[in-house]
Amino acid sequence: MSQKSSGPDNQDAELKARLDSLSGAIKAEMVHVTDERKAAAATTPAVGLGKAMGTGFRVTSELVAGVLVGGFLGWWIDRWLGSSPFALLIMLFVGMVAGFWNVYKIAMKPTGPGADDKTQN
Amino acid sequence: MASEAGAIDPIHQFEISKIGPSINFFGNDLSLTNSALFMIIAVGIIYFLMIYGTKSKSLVPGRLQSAAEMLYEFMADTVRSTTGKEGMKFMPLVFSLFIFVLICNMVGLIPGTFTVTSHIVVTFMFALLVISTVIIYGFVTHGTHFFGLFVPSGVPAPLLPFIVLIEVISFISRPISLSMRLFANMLAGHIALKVFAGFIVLMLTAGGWVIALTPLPMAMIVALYALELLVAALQAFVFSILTCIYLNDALHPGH
Repeated sequence: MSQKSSGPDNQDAELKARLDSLSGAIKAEMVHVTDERKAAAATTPAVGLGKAMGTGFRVTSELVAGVLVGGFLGWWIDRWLGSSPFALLIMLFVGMVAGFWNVYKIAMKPTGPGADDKTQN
Repeated sequence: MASEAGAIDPIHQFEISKIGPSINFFGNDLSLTNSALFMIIAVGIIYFLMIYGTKSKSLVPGRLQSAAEMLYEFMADTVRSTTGKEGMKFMPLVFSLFIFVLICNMVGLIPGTFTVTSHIVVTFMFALLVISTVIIYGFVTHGTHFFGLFVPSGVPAPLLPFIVLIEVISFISRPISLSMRLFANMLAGHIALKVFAGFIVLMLTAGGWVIALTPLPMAMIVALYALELLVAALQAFVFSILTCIYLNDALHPGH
């Protein structure tokens, strides 16, 4: 009110600039905090162990499930075509390959939205 | 549990028995079984935890509220980091599966209870629910483009049929591995506990100096029990994170 030198427009611009810098600082701080939290989550031994054991369980079951599904499909094709035991042998092998392929995908593909951006089209 | 001549049957704990009157519904047996009873108990615990726990809505949470919030936050973080923001519409499904499996596993660890998740029928139904959600949602949103899941890009043409066959088998093996992992872990853990408990009984009845060795299997049970607690929580987590990964395929098919 008393300051004649800075008109209302001028004051608005000043306030806006200040607001921008403040929200920028808040955003930077948020990014910093989430990064820190993510880093902490990744390095906490309990979480790390849980993730590692989870991956271990996944890998084992993928290997077994691939062979099981391949074997079942082969047995089914054999029964259908009467070609025992060739389809069973071939599909067991293919199922094994599928199991290894799944394990390979687990090992090679990082999961998460970041990984999606790379793989998506 | 102990049948004749001190023999211990570690499988007996998984037997399904009817409780109360037998109900017949158009030729289908709908009687309450111990499995169904413990599912109801698990749901009751979940209701108690979620509704009573979040009733006060205080800024500084109490024990129950903190547990409920941590479970929710943990799962929300998992879903968001695996499937992105658009995956959050599946949060109710993933969270329900996670908490039901978790509570069933935990309740099953209490001696004398029945472990619902140690039956492959139950876990396979969960897996079918997940996979059919993936397939239906994938088809509804992407149409035939969903088949791109089976055709990886950048594969030389002669290899393509073989790769597609392998991709199809690996897709079919998903519900199998998803259900088998949970069921087998719970089954194996409970059998191992029961077998070691059986050793104690056998040693005590054997008499003589063998009785002095009974603390050994007892210590083993304590160690195994700790491991089983970890496995129970971990299997629920693995089940839900794989649900997220498969749903991610439905959201973004094509490699």
